[in-house]
Amino acid sequence: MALLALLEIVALLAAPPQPRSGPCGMLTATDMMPLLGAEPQPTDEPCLWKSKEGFNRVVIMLSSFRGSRASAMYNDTRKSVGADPDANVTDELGFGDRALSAMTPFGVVVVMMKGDQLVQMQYWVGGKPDKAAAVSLLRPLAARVLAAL
Amino acid sequence: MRVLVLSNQPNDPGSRERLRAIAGLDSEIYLGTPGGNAGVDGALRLVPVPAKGDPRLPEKLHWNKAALRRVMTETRPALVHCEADPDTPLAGIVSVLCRTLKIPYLVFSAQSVPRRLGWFGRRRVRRVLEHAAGVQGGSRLAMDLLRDQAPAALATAIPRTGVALPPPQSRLEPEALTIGFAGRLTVERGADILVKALSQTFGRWRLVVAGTGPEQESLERSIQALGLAARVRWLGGIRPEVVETLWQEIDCLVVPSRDTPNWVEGHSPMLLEAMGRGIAAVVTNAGALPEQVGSAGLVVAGAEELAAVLQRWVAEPGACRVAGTKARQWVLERYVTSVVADRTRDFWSAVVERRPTD
Repeated sequence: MALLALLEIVALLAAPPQPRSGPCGMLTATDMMPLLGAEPQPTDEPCLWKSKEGFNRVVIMLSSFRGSRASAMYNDTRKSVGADPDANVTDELGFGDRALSAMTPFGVVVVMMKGDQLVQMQYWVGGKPDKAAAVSLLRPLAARVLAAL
Repeated sequence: MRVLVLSNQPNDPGSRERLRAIAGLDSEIYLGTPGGNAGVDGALRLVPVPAKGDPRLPEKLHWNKAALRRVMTETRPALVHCEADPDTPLAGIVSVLCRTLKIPYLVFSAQSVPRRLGWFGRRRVRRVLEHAAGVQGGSRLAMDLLRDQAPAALATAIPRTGVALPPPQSRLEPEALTIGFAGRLTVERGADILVKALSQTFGRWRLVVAGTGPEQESLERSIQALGLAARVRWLGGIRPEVVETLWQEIDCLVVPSRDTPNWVEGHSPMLLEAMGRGIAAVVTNAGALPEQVGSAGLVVAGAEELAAVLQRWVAEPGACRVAGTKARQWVLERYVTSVVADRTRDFWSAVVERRPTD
């Protein structure tokens, strides 16, 4: 009996980690390495990938809003960043149905609509990055997230 | 109608203002105070009653029973209004004397979560409430707690104090939506929910925080990490001049409290004051907040919904101004001192006449 219990514990310890669910499960550490360097670590709620050393982070948020509510949130964001000269907003092509990128105090954000799903990806770099370069780094990640929806 | 009001905090200016307003209607009000001198305050008659105990802990004061009995006998009120929680010594004495003298009494409490009491405390609450003719909660939550143990009593939810309607804040067309937070920086007050929402709110906004507390350091760290420090102004601890500055600067007030097993947000005079000034209000679905803002404020479930509201107002500042105008109207119709006084007087009449309330 005791041996069985011991075997069960060993089996549990040896079992591979459960794959993550939610947005963090849509990407791997390898996907994150170009943005965050070696061995990036994910945490959930919201999905946040951190660099092992340093400040950089990537936050991925799938909005719980759907339909007109999600669309209104996208439009409000577009209008708000459009009125902020520091945001340097750009309408992006190739990210879902509609997308924008903008500078933020923490780095860069890409906000996307695919169908009635609103997705936000934040790239925290702790300063003012080269926006075009940061957006290009986010692009493959965004494609994977959108493909997984 | 003659009413004897007994309060552990008889000098609270808001409460006095409301009682003076009722006395100005058609009621004769005697206000029993623990100690002090006999006299008049406007149309209020002040009746001192000796009380023992630490004046800094008014809820624990032991009012002199014989003296209180004499006051009741001499004034012969139609109703005794006890502004003290049912577990206090004052409520216990009021209950005993009113039963003996056959005077109906009502009990007021603002407590929104049940207090942990010993056997004697629970017994006192039970006896006070089972004989009460009326119970008045400072909010609907407080009323429900009282009513649980006073099923036969008439019940209502009316705050203890009203709002003196301040002039509306007139601001020039703001460059950025200015969001306000006022409260102690504790986990329960939920400033972290606001910061989380602001991490998802883009465009031009500023945050002004009035209050300090144990969570300040952690909030400052989060704000720093988000690169938002330049957008946040910390006004320090809540003092009248700080609150006045806050009202002048903000377009909307966020009250993002969260309920805990031992604490829920009760009636918030500060929220009403902001609304009375025409400042838009957005609150979380916690404690008495949704009831207080009614249809004139926005109620959100968490950070994501809060971000959506704030993003809307950043995009459309006019929508925030409309919400502010509605907020002021709501306070004008329900919470100004004259309205609270009217509602209290009507409730007193209903209790005395034993007629059902709305």
